Amino acid sequence: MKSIIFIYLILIYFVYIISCSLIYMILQDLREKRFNKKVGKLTETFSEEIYNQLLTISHNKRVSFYAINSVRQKLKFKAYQRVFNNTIILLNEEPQNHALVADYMTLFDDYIKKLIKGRNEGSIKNVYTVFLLGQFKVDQDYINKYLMESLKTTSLHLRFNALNSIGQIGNVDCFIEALRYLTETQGYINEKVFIDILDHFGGNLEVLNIELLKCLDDLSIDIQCIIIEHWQNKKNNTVAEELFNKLQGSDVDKEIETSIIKYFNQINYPPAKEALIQRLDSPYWECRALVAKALSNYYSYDTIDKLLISIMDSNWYVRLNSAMTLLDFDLGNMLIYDVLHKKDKYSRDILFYAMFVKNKITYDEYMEKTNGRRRW
Amino acid sequence: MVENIIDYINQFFMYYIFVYAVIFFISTIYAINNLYQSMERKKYRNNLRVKNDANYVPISILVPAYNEEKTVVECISSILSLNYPEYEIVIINDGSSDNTEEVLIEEFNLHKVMRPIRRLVNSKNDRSIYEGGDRIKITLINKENGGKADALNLGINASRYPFFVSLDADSILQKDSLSNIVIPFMEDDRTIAVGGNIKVSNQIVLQNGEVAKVLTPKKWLIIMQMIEYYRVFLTTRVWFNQFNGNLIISGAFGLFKKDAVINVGGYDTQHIGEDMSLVVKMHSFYRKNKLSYRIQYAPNAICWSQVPERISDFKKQRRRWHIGLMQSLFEHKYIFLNTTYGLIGTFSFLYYLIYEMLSCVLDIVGVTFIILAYYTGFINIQFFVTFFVVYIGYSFVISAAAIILESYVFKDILNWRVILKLIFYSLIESLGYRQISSLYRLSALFQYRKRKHEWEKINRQRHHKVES
Repeated sequence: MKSIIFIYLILIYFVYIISCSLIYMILQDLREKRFNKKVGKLTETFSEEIYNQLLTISHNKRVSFYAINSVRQKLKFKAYQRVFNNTIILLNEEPQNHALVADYMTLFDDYIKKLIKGRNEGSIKNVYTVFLLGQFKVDQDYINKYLMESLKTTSLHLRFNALNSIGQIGNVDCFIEALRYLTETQGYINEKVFIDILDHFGGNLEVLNIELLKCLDDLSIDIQCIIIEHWQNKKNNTVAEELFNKLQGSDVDKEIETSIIKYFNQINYPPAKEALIQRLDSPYWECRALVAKALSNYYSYDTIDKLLISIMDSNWYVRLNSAMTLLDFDLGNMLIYDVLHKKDKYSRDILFYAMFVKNKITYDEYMEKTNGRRRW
Repeated sequence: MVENIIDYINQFFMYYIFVYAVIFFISTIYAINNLYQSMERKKYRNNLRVKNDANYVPISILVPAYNEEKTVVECISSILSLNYPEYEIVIINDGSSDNTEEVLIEEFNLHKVMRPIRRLVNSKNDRSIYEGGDRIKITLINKENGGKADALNLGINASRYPFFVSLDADSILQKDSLSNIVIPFMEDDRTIAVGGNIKVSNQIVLQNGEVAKVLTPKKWLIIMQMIEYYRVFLTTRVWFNQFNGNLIISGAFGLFKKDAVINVGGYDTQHIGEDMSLVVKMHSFYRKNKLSYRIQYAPNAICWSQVPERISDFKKQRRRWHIGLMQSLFEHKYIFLNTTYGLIGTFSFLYYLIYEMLSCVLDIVGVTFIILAYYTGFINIQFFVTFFVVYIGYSFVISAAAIILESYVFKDILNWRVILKLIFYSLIESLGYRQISSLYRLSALFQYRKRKHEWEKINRQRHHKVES
């Protein structure tokens, strides 16, 4: 009997807690809806006010103290803050507004300081503050310092937003310092996300590239590969010589080696041709396959001769890439003659397969030439 | 003497239900808190963002299809309208005897090709391959019938990208489902698999391959399954996700790291519950080898999947699910209460054994026993009422909480009429639907040996559509 009463009481307690949680959630939702309604009403007028001030700055004129003070006063209220932040975020969607936003936001130093003050590390609102700092783009020491401190966290979202904001603000020294910090602490940020941050760096990219080259060897292998992929994405040929020298080095890491080969696949750098051809003899099939593909940028008799050998490679991918590259050189019947002359059934098959993939022969012709067999 | 035995049995059922109530209390409270936090994070932009399309992780979507001529075109059309920049679609036609192959070739203008397929995991050979598609590459592989697991294995072998999604051919993906399901991989590089949130699609209306609205469900069987899906996908899975304890990723929609699946030998072709079998195998492999890993759940990655509308199909589905569950638990029985496997061994496995596998026995036997005990005078009215208050009342609270949570998290999906209807039905779900479901699962227990290799196909319907 006692246990039944006990069970009853516990269950009533459970139901009470669940109900309270749901009611709290619903009330918060209603509150948010009311708040958003208020924000919606203010958006039209207050955003207009901000746009007008930005327009004044864009015409190299000074915004009056009275006008700025009016915005500052309004920023004491949460609804106005939301409108202000949303307007700045919206403006930042167009890259040509970035410099203008940075100039404008220097007028709101006190607002930024108030935002930063008293935030708990890793809290949802702190992450939002860090995100906003990137949107405001104000390159000030106290902001950079705050962002660097935010990077030193276990919260992934805070770390990502801190690095992203440092990148958006575009202070090269601060960004390099952040990379060094991440190398030392091995703080995880997804490779693709990291490359994206680099691709959208808000400062001077030329200066960044020079500094990245200077410190490249000090950074972790993962970060080095990310930087090389970023250069590849941006088709940056100013770093080709340095990367070529790195590739020539005796103790180059396999990951970095493959990243550099991928870079030379995108960026044509003739002096790298010999080094790439040599790598068709690499013990790693991944490396041979990548080089066979990259060599499509480096037409020469030496390249063709070497590819006619690598088309007989033991690895299917190396054979395929070699065949595809040879077809890119548009050698006509000479190529088919050379390959058939080798009397190597694998290279012959892969050449016909590559011709089929490149729509140089039809499915039926391919089946006829290979007698319908699969020699993968 | 007899009175004492019956008393002990009744006490046992009472405590069983009480533990059940405790577990669901914890999972519901945890889910409410977690989903509220995730809404707050979304509001305050606490998310990873990638601006450049080239920096997204490319994904292969594998769609095994066996006699799916009615739904497969809609499924592929929904995939083609996803807002994800880089993915390919691989449809594996598992020896269909209907026009699945023809409708796909015609609808998507596919042409025959010859291409190599690596043998990374065991599967039957392909018979022919077709390719097509403009922005998104579509590959159709025809093979002889070998079951869903075998078809998925061939899909893994044929896929080009390092991540793959397994998707049922009767499912519809929400536009942002891929962008959402990939997030856990970006947040934590130890992630090897992510499960998506499955919603009932029988009542949806499609427009250009996208879900335009959800109609008010009319059939009681669909309503009951909707409530059940909300409860499972918005409470238990969210909680189990916290301690890496989910032993299942629904076969209807899940994202996997290809290397991790190859490490465990791919899908088990001897299992009819290939989805759970794979996940348990992955837990086992990574724990045994002391490798750090995460198997996650993304509630905001939504997939719409059809549920049985007829009781005969419902029976087949539940029986198959239960046999699949038993196969996975029996095959990996060494995990049971094994501390080497951490919370998987000491809690998750135990939970799946008692509250998933054996709950049908306890449900049927327990309810029958208590009713009989009351009518024969062995238990008093207080005990009888307490039992049913816990059994029905508490289940109602949990189901209603899941429905409210659903309407809070996914604001645009359900209207108030549907919500109220679902809450009303959740009151009667515990008495009737639950027993029917338990009865079918119980039959699976007895027919395990006979039916453990049988895959019973259920009938599918075309989705409602509005023209653009």
